[in-house]
Amino acid sequence: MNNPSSNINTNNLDRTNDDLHWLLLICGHVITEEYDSDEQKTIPEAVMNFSSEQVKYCDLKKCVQIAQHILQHPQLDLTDEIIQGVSPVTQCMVAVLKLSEIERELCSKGRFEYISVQVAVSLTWFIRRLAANYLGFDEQSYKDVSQTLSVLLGKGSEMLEFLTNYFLSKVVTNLQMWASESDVIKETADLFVTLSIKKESSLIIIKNELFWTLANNVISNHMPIQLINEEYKRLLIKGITCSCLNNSSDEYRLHFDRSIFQILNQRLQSIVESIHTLVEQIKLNNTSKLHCTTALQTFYSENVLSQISTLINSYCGLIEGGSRCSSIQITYLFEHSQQTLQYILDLFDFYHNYSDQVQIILELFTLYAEHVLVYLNENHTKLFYTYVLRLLQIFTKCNYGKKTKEINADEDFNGHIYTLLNCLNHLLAKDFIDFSDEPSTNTTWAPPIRDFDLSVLEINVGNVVLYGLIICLPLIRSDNLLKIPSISLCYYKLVSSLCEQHSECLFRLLDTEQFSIFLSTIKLGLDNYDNEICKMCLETIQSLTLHIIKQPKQYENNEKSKYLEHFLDYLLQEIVTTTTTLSDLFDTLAGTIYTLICAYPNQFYNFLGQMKQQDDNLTSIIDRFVHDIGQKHDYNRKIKISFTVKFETFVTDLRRIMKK
Amino acid sequence: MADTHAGDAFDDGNEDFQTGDAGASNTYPQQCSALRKSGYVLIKGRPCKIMEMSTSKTGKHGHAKINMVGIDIFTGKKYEDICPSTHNMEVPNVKRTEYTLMDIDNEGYVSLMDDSSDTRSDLKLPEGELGQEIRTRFDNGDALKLTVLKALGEEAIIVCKLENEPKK
Repeated sequence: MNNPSSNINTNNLDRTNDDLHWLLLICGHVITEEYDSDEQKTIPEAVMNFSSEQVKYCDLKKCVQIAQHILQHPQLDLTDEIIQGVSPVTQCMVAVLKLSEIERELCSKGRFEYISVQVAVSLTWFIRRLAANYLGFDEQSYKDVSQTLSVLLGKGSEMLEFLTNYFLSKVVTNLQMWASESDVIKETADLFVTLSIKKESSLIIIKNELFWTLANNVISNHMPIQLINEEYKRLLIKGITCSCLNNSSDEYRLHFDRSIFQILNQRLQSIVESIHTLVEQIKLNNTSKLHCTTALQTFYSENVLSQISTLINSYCGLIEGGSRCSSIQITYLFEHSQQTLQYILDLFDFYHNYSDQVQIILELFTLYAEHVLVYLNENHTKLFYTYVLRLLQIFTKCNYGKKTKEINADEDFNGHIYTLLNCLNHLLAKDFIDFSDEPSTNTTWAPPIRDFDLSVLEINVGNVVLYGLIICLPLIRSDNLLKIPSISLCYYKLVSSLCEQHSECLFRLLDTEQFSIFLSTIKLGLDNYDNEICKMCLETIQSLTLHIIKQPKQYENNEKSKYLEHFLDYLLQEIVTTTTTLSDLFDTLAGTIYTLICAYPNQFYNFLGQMKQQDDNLTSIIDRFVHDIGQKHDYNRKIKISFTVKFETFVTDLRRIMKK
Repeated sequence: MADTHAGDAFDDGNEDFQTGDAGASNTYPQQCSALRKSGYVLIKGRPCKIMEMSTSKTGKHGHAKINMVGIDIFTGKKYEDICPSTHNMEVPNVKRTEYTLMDIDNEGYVSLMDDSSDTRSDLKLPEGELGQEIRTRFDNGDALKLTVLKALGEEAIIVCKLENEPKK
């Protein structure tokens, strides 16, 4: 590559790049371990031990000098003589850093013919794993800490700061050099997130002007950020948010607020207010109506739609980044996004015909439900439920009686339903997980949203989720969406959690027809799906039946109770007629049957009577079973467990006789 | 009255934003790497929705090429194209406008009214199931909203929905 000649032997170059690619992978796999985003990784113990042993052969000062000089002088000779006295792990890292510098220099001189995309991917991958495993590693985790690694990369070391800033510059140059190469950008975005999540490195990069220039470019969607995929832009914003809020400093939170949060909010406000102004002007039907109509159309151009998606996507990245931070920071994000959520609901209404925009807004609310809701106090929680209710209202309005022949509309719609069900599932999780603190003292709340009549529905999670379910159910049934595995799993998980916590809502808010339709989906789940979904269906039946048991007088001769009663016959019939083993499900099945027997004892004895009439041979078994379980059936956990044992014996004896 | 359009809304001092104006062109250029699945692109002169995108490389260490499979948004015909990731492709401006259905004449032409109370009668009922559904619902007395898809001067009715919201 030092040869000034313009004749390149492509074969040799390819072979060299091949070797570099594989060497990077080998080194990376030897000295680092893979991690997922939630994991705090550290140096593999074997490498630490090896490095410790090598210390006695190393010149510590030289290790640091070599590492620093290589970044300033990529032409630095790395012959065996020079490298003598440098630890092997340091040698490896230094060689990779040298390669990175050479790549950057070739790009800056326009010598692109030498550069390999594959090597760029592997190089960034290696640096990402190095950052995750090595930067500011926790010395407490090791019995023996290698002095070399401690000096080079330990917390508070000078070299740590130097390398972290170098890795940040790697992110920036990659975004400039490789914007069109999605594989490189993916690794680059992941590297940036890694640097942001680690507390030590985030505190370093946030003091670097390069960080704030990058943040500004990303938020403004300047070139070359415009060229990269939305998924990776979201990761970049996640990283920016995490870095800014990953500490307790008010200074950086204020800087984040000014440079990121407020910019996004102002942009959103400007769009929504422009749309409102134009719509109002059109309604006035005066001389400027034609001009306003034409102006409003500009908000539907592909270019603007793309920018709307980018804006909402930015909020998604913001929430994902904030979710890695403390509860105080998350609460701060919510308190400053109330007006944002209202504006986004307005956009949801305006763009209801545009599936991409609908999808990204649904995703944003799902992220709030997943990551923010568990930290909100009671008032904030209620407010969020109100926003979700409005979201559901608009979704209903826009899909009521909808029929379309648009290309791929069904796939888009399935995506909407899945995301909505996911959002509702996360809402329910608040029942189980609640990290909220004292009520907020923030007085800058937005007023309750405009056109939703709160008196119609008490704002609690059961009602909100049920409302969402009522909306989704007809849409799911009309297109038979339960045949799609992801949607069916999400749906049954939702209904079983809802019935476990809020079964009374279903009895109170569903009319008889809706209740019947709801139970038909449960029967569908029992008939057609695997054990995981069957179990959820059985648990749903149990929860609903338990509700009836607790209030027998209220549900005497009640239609809904009669629908539920059918499951007793159905499940007993299944047990009797099926030849497959039910070992995985048996406990849940027995528990459900027990609960149904407690609610509908007469029906249970009728069924047994019919069985005896059909086959005399079963009489003694049935009588023995009835004697064992006793006549009185008050629901009790202990009795339920003993019932399961007796029921298992009964079923085994039954099947033995029926086989003969 | 404020002279408002999307350009103003996105103007926060950033001059790089591209925005549409009144009488905007039917397409705009976008680098291939910025395209995404479910987005739109012009393939062989036809406005297509991107169904699949995959990346292959020019040589072992070369730059990415994007393979795209798109479906014509009007005819449903499948088109494919390959483009280096650094090259530009044309993205059609695809508009959706909602109208209230006022009438269907004997020849199948529909009378439509938009949100600004302007009317038009130049579109026919779509062929197939959707067209039949619209006619059936209209004959039943249902209030209907139709969505018209427009791109590169071509238009078609693609969605029908009921205007009255369901009871809560």
